Amino acid sequence: MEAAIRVENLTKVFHNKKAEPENREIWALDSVSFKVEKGEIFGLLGPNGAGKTTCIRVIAGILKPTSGTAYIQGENINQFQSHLLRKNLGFLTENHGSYEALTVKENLAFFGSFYEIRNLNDRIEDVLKQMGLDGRKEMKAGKLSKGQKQRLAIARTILHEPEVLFFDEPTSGLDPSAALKVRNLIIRLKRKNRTLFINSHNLEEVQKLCDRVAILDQGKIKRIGTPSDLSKELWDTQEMTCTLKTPVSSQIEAKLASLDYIKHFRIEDNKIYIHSNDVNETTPPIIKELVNLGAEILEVNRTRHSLEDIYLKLMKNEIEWGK
Amino acid sequence: MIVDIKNCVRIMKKDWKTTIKNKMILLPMILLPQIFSLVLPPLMLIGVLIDPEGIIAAFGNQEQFISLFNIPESYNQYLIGAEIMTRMMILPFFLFIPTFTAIIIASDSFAGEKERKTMESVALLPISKMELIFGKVLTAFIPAMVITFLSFIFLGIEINLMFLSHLDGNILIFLDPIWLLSVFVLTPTLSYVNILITVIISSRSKDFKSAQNISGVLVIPIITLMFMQMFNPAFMSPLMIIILSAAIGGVCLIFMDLANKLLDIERLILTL
Ligand SMILES: Nc1ncnc2c1ncn2[C@@H]1O[C@H](COP(=O)(O)OP(=O)(O)O)[C@@H](O)[C@H]1O
Ligand SMILES: [Mg+2]
Repeated sequence: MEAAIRVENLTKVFHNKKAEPENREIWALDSVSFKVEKGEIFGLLGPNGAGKTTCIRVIAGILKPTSGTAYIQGENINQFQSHLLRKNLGFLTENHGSYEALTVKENLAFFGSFYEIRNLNDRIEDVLKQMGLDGRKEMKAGKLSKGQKQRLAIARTILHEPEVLFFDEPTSGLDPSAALKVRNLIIRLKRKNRTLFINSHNLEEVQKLCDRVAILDQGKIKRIGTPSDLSKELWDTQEMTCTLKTPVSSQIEAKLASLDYIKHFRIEDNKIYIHSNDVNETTPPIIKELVNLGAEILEVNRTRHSLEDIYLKLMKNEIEWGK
Repeated sequence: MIVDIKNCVRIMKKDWKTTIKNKMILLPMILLPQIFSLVLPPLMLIGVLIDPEGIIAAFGNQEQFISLFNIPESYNQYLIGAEIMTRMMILPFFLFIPTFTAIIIASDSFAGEKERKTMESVALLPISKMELIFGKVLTAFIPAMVITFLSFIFLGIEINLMFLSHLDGNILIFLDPIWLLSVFVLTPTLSYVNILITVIISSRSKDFKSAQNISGVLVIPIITLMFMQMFNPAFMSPLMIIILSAAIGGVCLIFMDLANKLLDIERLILTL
């Protein structure tokens, strides 16, 4: 089956004429390729300035790629008239983008009028209810709170029931309960077999929601896969943490350095972080050694790696290890 | 390229709700035409009521004007004076009204979307660039025309009322082919091309104010027309108006295509 979105060697270079000659070219996207299957929630994760917004703007046809291309439901964005492709797209922009001088309802009526919606008024009512804005219909959009503006923008994005939806930082600036509502909405959309593309720098969110994640940094895709695949790929070794009653002695440190089944370890005050190939096999002998050296053990843990660890590992320089 | 006029109308209606509510736009748009059509003309015509011969003599030879302007034989001195005065002094000012209104509204077309941070939402609509441009043109064109036509009606009523006791069954302005061609043929084409240019200027300006300042240059050709009419009363003949309108219409056709090329959506979004 045709992928909902297929991106091939997509590159976008910005030219900043005011910058120093060597910084004039900004490679916001540098030969990016990936696929999003129909019905999938795909997350594009990366720090600010990674190129996430640029990526979805190019796919939606409002920025022209420098090179490469993307296909939406099989149609090449470079060949097909992009405004016709947009009929079937929903796009939540970073800025809410509603008309502040118009009421909530007028905003939806305007944006909705460009799509073939059978009964627009009923659909508006329906969407406002879903987004908890039915009491604010006649209010000017400019008078809404930040969270309500975001919900109005989401209402606009889903109004015409598009097959493919892009959400740029959907929960940024929302309080936890509003963010939860948005996540639930995204899950409901997935149940309707919609394809969702979520830009986020919120790892927890991406990990909870997405079927697959691509990690983008400085315009390049660093990793791509399911959240659990990524964990496995990046952490071939496993970690245990051991907390002692007193700060770790140099004697213990020397001993740990001499054990060859320990790949590397790190000491922070009274905590020892130890990496090995198989925590199940190495934990008992390590504890025996520690006890023999007189260590008073308070706690032993196995660490589970979240996407956050992977992310931090990719983004920051790796933590300094003792071996 | 197929333009779905319904999409243009949707853009226009939305713009009316958002733009024209703005007092900075609405006030000058309503006040200035009133000055040109209601306040200035009586001041200019009052002299004709007091001393028609003197005013006519000040402009030139009465017999020459009668043949030049095709003034009906049934006109008395007062009406001849009024005819010369309206043709030479009021008509040129009148051409200002639509251009002025159009520039104010059209300056806001894209610069306003940028200022209101709604440009990306507009760019994401499933409409073509041509539909967007044409919608923005309509936003300014229709009010400019409505205001011009209303001003023409008010002006005509006012002048006829001023000369009511001298009319003798004649009607000033309303049946004059020069006035009718100017208001209903020249003015619409002139406004259209001015609006198109202003819309593009607006898409490339950083805000409404600077768009308006740059578009202000567009009044220069209008002022030229104005002076040509003032110093050469024969300039604005029916044939001349038709040729001028056709030439401007031709310019519009070229500009439509150029406008489509010059409207740079990417630049509009990125320079937010
Ligand atoms: N209009 C622009 N001109 C020059 N550079 C830009 C422009 N817009 C974005 N960029 C640059 O492109 C890169 C990617 O930006 P963006 O796609 O907004 O990242 P993200 O959404 O991941 O935060 C950044 O380095 C940013 O500075
Ligand atoms: Mg962004």
